[in-house]
Amino acid sequence: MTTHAPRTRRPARSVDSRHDAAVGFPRWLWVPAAFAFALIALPVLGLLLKADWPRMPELLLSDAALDALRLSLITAAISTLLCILLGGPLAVILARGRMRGLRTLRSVVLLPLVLPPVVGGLALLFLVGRTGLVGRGLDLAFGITVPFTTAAVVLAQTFVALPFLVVSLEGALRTAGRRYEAVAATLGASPGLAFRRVTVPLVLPGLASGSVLAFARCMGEFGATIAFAGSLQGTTRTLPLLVYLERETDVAGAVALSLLLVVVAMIVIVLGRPRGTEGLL
Amino acid sequence: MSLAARFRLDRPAFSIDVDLSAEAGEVLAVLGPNGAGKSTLLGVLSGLLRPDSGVVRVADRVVTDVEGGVFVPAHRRGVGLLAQQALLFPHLTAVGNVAFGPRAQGVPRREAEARARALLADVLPNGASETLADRKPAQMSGGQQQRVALARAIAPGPGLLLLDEPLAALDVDAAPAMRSLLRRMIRDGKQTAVLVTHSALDALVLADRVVVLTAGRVVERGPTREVLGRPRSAFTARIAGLDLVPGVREGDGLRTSDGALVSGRASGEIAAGDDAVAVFPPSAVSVFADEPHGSPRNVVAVRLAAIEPRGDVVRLRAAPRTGGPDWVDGLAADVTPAAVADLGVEPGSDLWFSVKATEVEIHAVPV
Repeated sequence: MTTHAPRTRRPARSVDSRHDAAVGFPRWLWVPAAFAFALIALPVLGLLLKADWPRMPELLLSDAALDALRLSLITAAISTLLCILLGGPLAVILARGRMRGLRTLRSVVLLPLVLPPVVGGLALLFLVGRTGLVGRGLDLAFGITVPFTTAAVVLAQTFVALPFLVVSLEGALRTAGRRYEAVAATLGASPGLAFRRVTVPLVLPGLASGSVLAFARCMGEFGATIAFAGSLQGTTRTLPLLVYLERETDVAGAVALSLLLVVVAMIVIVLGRPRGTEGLL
Repeated sequence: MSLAARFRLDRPAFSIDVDLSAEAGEVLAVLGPNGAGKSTLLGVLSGLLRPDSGVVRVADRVVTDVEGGVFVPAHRRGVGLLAQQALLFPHLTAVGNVAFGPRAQGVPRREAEARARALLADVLPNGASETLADRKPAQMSGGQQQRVALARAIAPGPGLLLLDEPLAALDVDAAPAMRSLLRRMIRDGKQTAVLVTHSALDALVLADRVVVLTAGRVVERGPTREVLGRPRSAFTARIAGLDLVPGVREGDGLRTSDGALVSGRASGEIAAGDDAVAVFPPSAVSVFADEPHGSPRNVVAVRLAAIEPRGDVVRLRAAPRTGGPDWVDGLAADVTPAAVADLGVEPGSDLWFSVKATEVEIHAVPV
């Protein structure tokens, strides 16, 4: 009776494929499917072929590259943390709340998933910019300007990555259900204790894969960042921005940095794929 | 009175209006068809549902009083729950699960875990608690999980324990052992409990008293043996569906009040002289017009009370003969229509009911 483990298991595959005579699918599906796979795999292969392997260390260790890598890792880490701290509670409310209007709230939360990031960046600029709704107050009261700072990079990344974390965590919470929390209550656990000792441990796998996805989204963030934070080396020029910049002046450097991002993406897929992407896209 | 509940709850297509109670240490079985309101009842008792009106008292404390504006939340009621599914916390070991309740009450970790280990040793078969105590639920069988769930439910010392069909999800091999365990821990442990079940056998073995719930109303109530032995509602008759003979354990059978010995197989350990009930299905009863001889069977003289057609069999209901044993009242025998024709009987005829000892199970029952 392991079926009530909260994590969604992948369905058991038929082990005996030699004898399996299950109803198949039309064979012509192979053709578009092969094209689809090629469309994803071949560009990456092209990058590998294009790479200037002997100069690779030099390209990756240039000041600009190291600055960008450091900035990307730090901002993505901070943004992921913000996603957990802010998106975690939001996911709990979306999954467990019973008030009206939650459906609308959820649709709004999903907005950054479908919105072009550059539009998100512009929207942030108009909100937090010096003349913006919130930005003007910040400027007058504290003398703080957010746009074109590292803080703006973090804000932009959090904006685009938040739904990834919220959606996968909400899914984990729904899968876990309320039953365990009800049992905890009958054992005398207050809602706070049940949340800490039961709910959180149960959804930890979902939280982990959601965080990995959010981190990946932060590492790859381009449009919102360039619109809201600009491209200043060491301050706001993250890896994707550097790749875009170098593409025009130093193709070999751009390829090397791209491969670095491919490696990061691969790590993310290995770490976070199994449960994280189910039901997300 | 350890449990007293009188409440009403209305939903668009359903309403429940019940009044029930249990003394301290008593087990009350709630029988009823699907949709009778059993889950709603448990929800109201455990504090997961608010009734529209009424009062619920657990261990002499008012936990729900709609008119008085009292509603004690689930975690402060001291009402435990053992459901069909064990629902052990998958991230905690067996000890961690059982210690959860005491820990929530503020018992220090070391003490809570010591209590958990002692309880596990009590609910798991010899030696198994050593190996299972530090395992996660995924590494246990369904039966083992349910035993650990029972230990977890009683660990905080609940004033009332709710048992929601605790045997329904177990396979046929695990259910009897779990039933005797429940009997030992709940009945012998004097744990006040409400048992929701579909099984007449569970009610017989575990419960002192029964209420039968149909469409949100109590239609029958009373001591278990009386209610199941002389079912008055169609549902009770169907669920009972079994012949019951009360008596005390003796030798390899059961001695009835009038001194007759009914032979059968004991289910679990029953000491001689303990109250017990012999249980057998009506289909195991053979019917004779003249007293049968020379076979190792339990035989009793009855008078035919009624003939009830039931699909492709005919159920013959017994009544006592004048001066005969009165425990035969209501006993049923299922026979083929051809057999009825051969016997040529009608209500009022004298007959002999006979059942093989191997078809009779003897169960210990509440005093």
